Amino acid sequence: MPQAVIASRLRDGRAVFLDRNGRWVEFIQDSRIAQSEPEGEEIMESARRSEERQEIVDPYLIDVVVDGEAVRPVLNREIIRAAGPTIRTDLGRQAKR
Amino acid sequence: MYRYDEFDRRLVDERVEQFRRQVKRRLDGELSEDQFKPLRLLNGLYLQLHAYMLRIAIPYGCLSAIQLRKLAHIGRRYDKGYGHFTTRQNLQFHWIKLEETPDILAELAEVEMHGIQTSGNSFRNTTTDQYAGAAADELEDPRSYCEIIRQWSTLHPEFSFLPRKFKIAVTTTPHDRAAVKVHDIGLRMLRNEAGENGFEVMVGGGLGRTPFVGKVIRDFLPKQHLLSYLEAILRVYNQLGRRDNLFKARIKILVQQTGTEKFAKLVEEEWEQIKDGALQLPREEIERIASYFAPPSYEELDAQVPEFEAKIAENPDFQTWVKTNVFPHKQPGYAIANLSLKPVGGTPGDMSSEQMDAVADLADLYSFGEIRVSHRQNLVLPYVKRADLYSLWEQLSPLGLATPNIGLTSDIICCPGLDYCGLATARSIPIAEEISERFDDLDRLHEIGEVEIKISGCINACGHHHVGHIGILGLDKAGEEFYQLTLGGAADEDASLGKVVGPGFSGDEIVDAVETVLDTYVSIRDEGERFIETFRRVGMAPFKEGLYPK
Amino acid sequence: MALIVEGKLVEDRWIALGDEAPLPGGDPIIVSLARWRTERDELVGRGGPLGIRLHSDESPAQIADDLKHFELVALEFPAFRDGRAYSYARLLRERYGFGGEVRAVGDVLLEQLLFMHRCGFNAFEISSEHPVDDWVTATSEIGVWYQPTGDGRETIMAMRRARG
Repeated sequence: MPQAVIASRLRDGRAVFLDRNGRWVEFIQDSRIAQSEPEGEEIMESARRSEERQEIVDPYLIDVVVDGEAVRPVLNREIIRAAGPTIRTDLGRQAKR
Repeated sequence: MYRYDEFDRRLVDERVEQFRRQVKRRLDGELSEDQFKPLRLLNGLYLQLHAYMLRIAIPYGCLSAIQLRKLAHIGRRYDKGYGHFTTRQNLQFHWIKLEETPDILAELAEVEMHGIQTSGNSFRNTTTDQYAGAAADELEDPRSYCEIIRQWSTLHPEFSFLPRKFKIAVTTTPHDRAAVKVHDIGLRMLRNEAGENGFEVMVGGGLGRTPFVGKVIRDFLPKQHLLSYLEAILRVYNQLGRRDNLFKARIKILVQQTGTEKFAKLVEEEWEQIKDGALQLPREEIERIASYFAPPSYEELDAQVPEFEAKIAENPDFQTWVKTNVFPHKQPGYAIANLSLKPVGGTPGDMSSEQMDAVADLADLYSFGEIRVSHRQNLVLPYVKRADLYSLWEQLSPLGLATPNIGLTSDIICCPGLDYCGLATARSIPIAEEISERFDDLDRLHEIGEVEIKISGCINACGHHHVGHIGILGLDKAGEEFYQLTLGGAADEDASLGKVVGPGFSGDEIVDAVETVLDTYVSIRDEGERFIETFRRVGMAPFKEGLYPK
Repeated sequence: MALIVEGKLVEDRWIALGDEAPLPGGDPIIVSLARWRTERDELVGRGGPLGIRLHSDESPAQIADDLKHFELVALEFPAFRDGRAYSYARLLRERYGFGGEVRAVGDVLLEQLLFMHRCGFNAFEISSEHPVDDWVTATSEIGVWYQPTGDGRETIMAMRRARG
């Protein structure tokens, strides 16, 4: 299953995703999707280095479903992290796009 | 209310500067997350699903209008315009930035507030009756003792790394509104035969994955020994509490594994050694603290207030609100007004900055500038003239704070759940919202009467589901949210733990299940019988039959 | 690892002796509780300065009657979260009247030095590049306290009383 890396940004704690250029971005659609296990390990490695540079906290891989442009995490928890609270759709990423 | 003197203020100010340096070292990369985490936790800063979360202590639920305005400001300036009142009478902001936290804490310190020990394995906020100082049935104002405990338990050098967190609750009324039996230590004031007030001491209550009702280890503790006795309990716990397993580290497990009698004996032995030492509370010190909680300057009023009675007679909506949300006061002509933070379809305990500002103004107008937070996640104006109740109600209504549901089905205790919390296994707020929508008909709500629904989004039980008359626990089953239903819990003087009724329900089914339980109750109750009384009389069977028809 | 005693950086003159290591002549040694129990007579008879190191599950109550033999008690923090030694230090000082060195060893969190000192520790093995600076910072960041302990520092209650 395709995967992305999620983490919390150090300075503001916002949930962020690793993109193709090794930067941390706010929208999961912009994240780098690993299509294989070795590629997943590769992007995790890059995330860990970023953690050592004290840019982010607690990176981990999440399973995602890719549907054209849309990227959606599999687990409820990660769906909520990516979008925002389900009971306040005026807040979080969901409010911005 | 208690006011800081120069010593209290210095401590909090120094703490803010200390944390400012720590945050700088973290942002500069000098501290790793492993090193920083215990430091931020000791200041109430968590890292949650969407952002940092800052939990602010509201000592024993007492807030001034000035403090509430500051919270409104912080919500607006540093968060997303709202805050969440918790079951521990605290307030948390869910969208905090680490880099702004020192400034927030400095702003809080200006109004004598902080986040010290709202997390971490030490003493948490000591909680009490939200009607303290106003309730007609209290033996003494519990806030003096809470404040004495607050000072003793703040940055205690010996007990800052206990096996696990530690919560103390105090009640001084026969009817316990502070849930003292489900705290690590519960203190219940009573009067002995000589006419002196002292405390019955309970230990080892608590919720979480292994819930217990607290056990009495001392029937009567004279007041001057309050702190030495607490120190003795904590010293025993600090040395003997389990540290090998996070889930067995609370004092309740120690009490259970040691046996109540033996545990009591260990405490008494330790106490014998220290009871006459430096922790003894001189009467003058108790009186000095109590003077901060002297009654406000009440007017001499008649108990009968004709204009109030007239308004009740002419306005049925007001009458309904008075019936559920107004509580008798010790002072003639005054009342305690409850402000519901449980609007239909809303998040229990959430309050916008605009609402906070408005309530602060109303508190200044009608309640000597004081507000209380209840563990049931509502607010209280403790000193309202009965003659002012109508104007107060009129102003609360457009603010969405006059829902007449205190103690009723939609007055739900609810943790933030998976919408915010990193530990949660399922969402809890949407369930609370849906229940309140299902039961939005006031006649039906009042027909059902007093019932406590409590919802937790995981086994840690922040939503107190074990002690809900109806408890709901959200779990994860193969990636789907599902909900376990418990019945028969109570958190008051007759505390009991609810029992799981049967197989759990999906998110789509759980609200129907709650409705079935309430319909069953209504159909079998005796005249005037509350839900919990019916449950205790008939047991689980009729509810089971309703929920799982063969 | 740096050693701070009474606020000063000092050379450690004590040898942490393994349970199997031969007894040196008159050098100051720190032994485990286990070794103390099995070789008590030899250790006392040796005549040199003696210290004991207690794990976090070994209460000083177990050696309360033997404290006269020790100049030093080292209390271990296997992890900073394990806070038992705070109580042990207070018991050593305030209950058993131990006047020798009480040393914090193991995972000694710099931020906790003040609390340790308040509980009766007067020596600290810390990993730090600037141990004296860290000590000064840690013990001066917060300058008031509510709790009476055996360290004699004036509490807020006492200051209030003095102020009147």
